Amino acid sequence: MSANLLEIKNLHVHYITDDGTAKAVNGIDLALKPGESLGLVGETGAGKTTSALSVLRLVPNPPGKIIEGEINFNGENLLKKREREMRRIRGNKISMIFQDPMTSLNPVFTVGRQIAENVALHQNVSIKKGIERAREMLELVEIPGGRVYDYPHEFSGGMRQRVLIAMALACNPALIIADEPTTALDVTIQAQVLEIIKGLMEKVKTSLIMISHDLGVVREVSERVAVMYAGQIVEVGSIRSVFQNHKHPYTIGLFGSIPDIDDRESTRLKPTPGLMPDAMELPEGCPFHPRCPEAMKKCSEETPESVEIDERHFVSCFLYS
Amino acid sequence: MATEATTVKVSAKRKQRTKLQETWRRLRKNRWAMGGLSLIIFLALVAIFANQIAPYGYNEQDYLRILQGPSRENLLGTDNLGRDVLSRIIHGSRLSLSIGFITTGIGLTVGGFLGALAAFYGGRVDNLIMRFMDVILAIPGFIFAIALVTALGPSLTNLMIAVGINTIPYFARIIRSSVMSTKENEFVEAARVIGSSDLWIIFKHLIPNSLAPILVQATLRIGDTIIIASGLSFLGLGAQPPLPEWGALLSAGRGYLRVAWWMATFPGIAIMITVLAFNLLGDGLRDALDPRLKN
Repeated sequence: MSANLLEIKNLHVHYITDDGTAKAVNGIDLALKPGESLGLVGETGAGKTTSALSVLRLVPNPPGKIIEGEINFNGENLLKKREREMRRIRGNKISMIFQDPMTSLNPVFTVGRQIAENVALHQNVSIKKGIERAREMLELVEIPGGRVYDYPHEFSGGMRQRVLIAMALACNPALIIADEPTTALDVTIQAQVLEIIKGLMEKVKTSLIMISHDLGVVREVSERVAVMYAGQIVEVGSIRSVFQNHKHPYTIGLFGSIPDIDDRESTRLKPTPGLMPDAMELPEGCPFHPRCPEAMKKCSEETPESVEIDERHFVSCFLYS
Repeated sequence: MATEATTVKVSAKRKQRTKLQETWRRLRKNRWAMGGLSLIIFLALVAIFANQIAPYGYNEQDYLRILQGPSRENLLGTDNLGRDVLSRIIHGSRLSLSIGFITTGIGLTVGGFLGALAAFYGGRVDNLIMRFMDVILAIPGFIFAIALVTALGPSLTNLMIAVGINTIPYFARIIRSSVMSTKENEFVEAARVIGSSDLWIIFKHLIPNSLAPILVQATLRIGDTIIIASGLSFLGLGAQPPLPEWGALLSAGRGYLRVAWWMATFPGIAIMITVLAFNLLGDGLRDALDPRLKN
């Protein structure tokens, strides 16, 4: 067992507003080894993006606040760092790819300049040298290097997302967080972008956190998957283990909502009834119990501990404790 | 086949056009704006080569030719001290144009920076800066300038400071609103993710994206500041005699309007033409930079 690159311990993030406190992330624990890729799945509002932004300490503040917890990166607690030290880490050691490639690039600068800026900021080189690096990076994501002098509006959506990937990778970060990088793209382009991400992971040996609400996307690129619900991780394990042997009622519900092309018998999907609770008024005990088909009396009283049911496969549910 | 080839060519050509070229292309189609631009270029050349163009020095007197009407020797006549009006207007263009540019420059840099800060940080910073701007705006511009010049003493420098301060809030507002909308773009977040500092984001990402409204506002403001400055000089609060600032020329000619109409009329026309030129160009730029009016 090698040391973990990233360890999130008991992280709590709240959004404190005049109307009340939204508990977006409620005590998540995650560990990521160097070179490993983890998928973070869950519905909209489950706290995926907030968790990711916490790692970079970019939760918008106000109203967001990291209440407690530890985020250890290479053995150092990021929550104890000064803003200046964080700036040196962002983009350099930890990078992020955003959801919407259409607005994530500055329309007034060439893409080469924008990639070069990242390099220049962290490696103490001139923008000119950075452009050279930008050329290499573009080639890496299969865009002709000659296009460094083109403006963002001259690229298609899929290409822009690849430009953003190139930008994120330009400083050889140890960790990349991809926040639903394929959501804004159409399906064929999605596959292409995922293919590129997958290929690059092998080439440059970085770790990846892939945030998505699509289990298929996560399956493509990740080795492990964590399922989030209402700011908690309800199930985490290797792709194999979770896909073949999902235990948590919520995860079962998620898989029940995927159409199965081989299953001609059932004509309807089996969605989980109800909605995710409002983060301002989370239910007592297990947050899933109001929707859970297997809810017991205990579920509304206590929060379940996470239990290891297989090798590195954890489930937080009283059914298994 | 032939048509296909040409379309390919056209699109290839289009691709290389930057935003600047695109704007220029659209501006060129606007006849009024181009007229304004040519006038401005003409005025700028006159100001630069004033010493070469002007037939006389701005302070050169000829007591044998006092209050003479336009003639071959003095195209626009002479004033009560025997000075050539045309030469004084030509030399005065230097003063008036530089007043316009310098005061707008003051407003642009200070106002732009404050507006960007207000929009970027929001909340209390925004409130503090913008309420202060409101205070300046609440005082009528002219009276504010009069008060300031009276307090500092009448001189060209103080005039420029007064008018400059007066234009700050206009720029602050324009840039604030523009930055507020651009800062919501994800590329700002993306810049943060790669480790950019706040100032870097403001100067490298937000302000360049707000350049279009800034440019329009600056062009229109130059005309306004020239008017205000001339007005103050007219009241004796700006350029002091014998400096040939246009407003001061107007003021000097006022007393002789019935015997020598040319003394006040021609400087007035010079002011009018200059302001008109800047306004025409400003309006043209606004249209050319507006993506909704493409083509």
